[in-house]
Amino acid sequence: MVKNLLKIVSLFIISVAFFSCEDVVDIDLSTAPAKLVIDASIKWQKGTTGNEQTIRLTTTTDFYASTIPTVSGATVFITDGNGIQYDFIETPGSGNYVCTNFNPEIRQTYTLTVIYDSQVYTATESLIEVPTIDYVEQTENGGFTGDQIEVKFFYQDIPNQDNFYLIMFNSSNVSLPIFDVVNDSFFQNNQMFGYLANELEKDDIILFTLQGISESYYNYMNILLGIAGTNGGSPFQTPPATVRGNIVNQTNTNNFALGFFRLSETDTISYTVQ
Amino acid sequence: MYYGVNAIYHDFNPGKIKPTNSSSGINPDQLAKKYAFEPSAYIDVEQQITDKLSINYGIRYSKFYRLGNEEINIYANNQAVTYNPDFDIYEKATPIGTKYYGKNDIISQFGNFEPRFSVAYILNDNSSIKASYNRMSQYLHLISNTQSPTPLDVWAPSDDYLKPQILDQVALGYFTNLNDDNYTLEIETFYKKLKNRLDYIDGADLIANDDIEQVVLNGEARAYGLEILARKNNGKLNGWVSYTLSRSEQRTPGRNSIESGINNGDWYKTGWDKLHNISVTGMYKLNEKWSFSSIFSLQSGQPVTYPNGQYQYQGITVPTYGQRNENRLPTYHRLDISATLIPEKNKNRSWHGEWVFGIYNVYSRKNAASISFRQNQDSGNNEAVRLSIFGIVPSVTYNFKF
Repeated sequence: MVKNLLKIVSLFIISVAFFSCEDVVDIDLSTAPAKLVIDASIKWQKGTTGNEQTIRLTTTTDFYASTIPTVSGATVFITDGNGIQYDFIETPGSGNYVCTNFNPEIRQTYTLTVIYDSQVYTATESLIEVPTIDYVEQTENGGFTGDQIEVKFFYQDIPNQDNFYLIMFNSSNVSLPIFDVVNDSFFQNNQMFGYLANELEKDDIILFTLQGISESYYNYMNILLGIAGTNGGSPFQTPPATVRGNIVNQTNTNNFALGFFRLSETDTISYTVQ
Repeated sequence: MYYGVNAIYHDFNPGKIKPTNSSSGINPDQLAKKYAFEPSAYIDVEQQITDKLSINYGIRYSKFYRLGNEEINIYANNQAVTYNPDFDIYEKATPIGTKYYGKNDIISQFGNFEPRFSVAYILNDNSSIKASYNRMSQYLHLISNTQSPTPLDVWAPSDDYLKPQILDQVALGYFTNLNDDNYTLEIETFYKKLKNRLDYIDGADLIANDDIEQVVLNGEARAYGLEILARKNNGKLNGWVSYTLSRSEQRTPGRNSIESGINNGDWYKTGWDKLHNISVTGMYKLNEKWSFSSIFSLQSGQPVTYPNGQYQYQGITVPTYGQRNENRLPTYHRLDISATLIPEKNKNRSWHGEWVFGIYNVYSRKNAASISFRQNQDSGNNEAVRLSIFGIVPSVTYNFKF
């Protein structure tokens, strides 16, 4: 049943180049009932006492809303491994709960308790150390195009242990802070750096912050940053899901709170672009 | 009767991590290469029982050997994914050790019988019915990284953690010719059940991941539906209309009574679910020189997961999500038309050429390839962004055969 051998060759001439386009569209979204969000990041800047700390309580809201509801009237405190309790008192009406006598200690274990709406939320973490930022280097051949100003902030990985770091840039030329999390699995014992090459110009001021974090917080932030803010729509994004942190509702497990409780030693350096 | 044997050797190279220049702080790494061998044998029998009844049955036996050399992670309780009941989340397990397998050592092996059976019965000169059952096993897993159709899919061979997929499928069909074979009508219904369909845990990271077993769980999938195809076979105008009503779902329940499973262990629509799928094709032959055709297709939008809220954490805006794949992209539809010109000088020579003038997506519908959500960098407000590929595309094609 062999038929004539046919050779079919096709030539394609597409007279108009194909294109893809992105546009902003209206998509109706449903809104789930509001959940408590606990933003409890204790940061101990090297060379300071770390006595003053703030925890912020808010709730989830409509995806398109432009303001975030704050939570007032909660009881917030942290207990350390020695049983000492540090109370966080709300600046009235702000959702910000402030402590002025916190005592930070490397590798100490702390437990956060938040009581709100007759629900008790707790989380436990330890305070993670961080190396100092050694030096800053500026080059003119950075960025995607290779001709932009690039600034690198160098630090020495803590040797012979698995380390996780959160890095943050606040720059005068962007409105939102830029976060990234790194681990030393590809860099063990090496000199590591954070770099910024975001349309920098002379006299821009960059505030670089390096924070020591736990592996569970690294995993949390890695997922969170993948779905957060301006990252939506990246082809590398993880399958979307609500990101759960380490805060457990002891009263009703299903009514969980969002956010994370973590404690970091931090180092910060300010650099003016030359 | 037919029979045969077959063997495939698989060699996977998932890629390398390398520093882009000598001053980079990256330590280079090769993602583990993987090897597998898949032999199979089959036998198939066709049997005419009576004038009207014929049957076809057969069986295939396939083996799958996952081979070294490779270093395999060992996990406590043989679980590469652990469940954290406090937070109700699945997490990567930390290997408690590794085991090295030398070249061509067997890491794990599987064997499966794949029976098949079909029966056809001729009702009368114009109509017949057909029923079939078959089982298939698949040893390679395709794990899609994202919901948007990017080429970033990961293929992974079966091993102790990624079990082979077993598909059972039944179908029942009715075929009839009407009006002196001018029209054909085919109606078919099917049900498929798939065991060991991989599903990624929430927040899975699939790119350059050497330990894919740490972010996936074995679940199950099912699909069922009804297909109707009506065809006009003769005349200057012919063509067909097809309609499929179907559902494709999956679920991954917890491995024990404590675990909640992925998506709370509930069934949810897979990314391939198309509730409605309509296609209309028409061809009109004007004369020996010119013919025209058009295709219209309409499909339910792809299931996706949209945010159901937002919150702020450390100054960044984070969306929240409900159940997986509860939303759908907007309905997809498109019309393509084309005209074919066969030049008359073709007739008496061996070289046959034809010109096809086409227009893809005639009314230039911006079908969404994906809808993503982001925070506008200037206003700080959240917005939905549609990515669409191809508006209207005219084309000219020259086909020739010799």
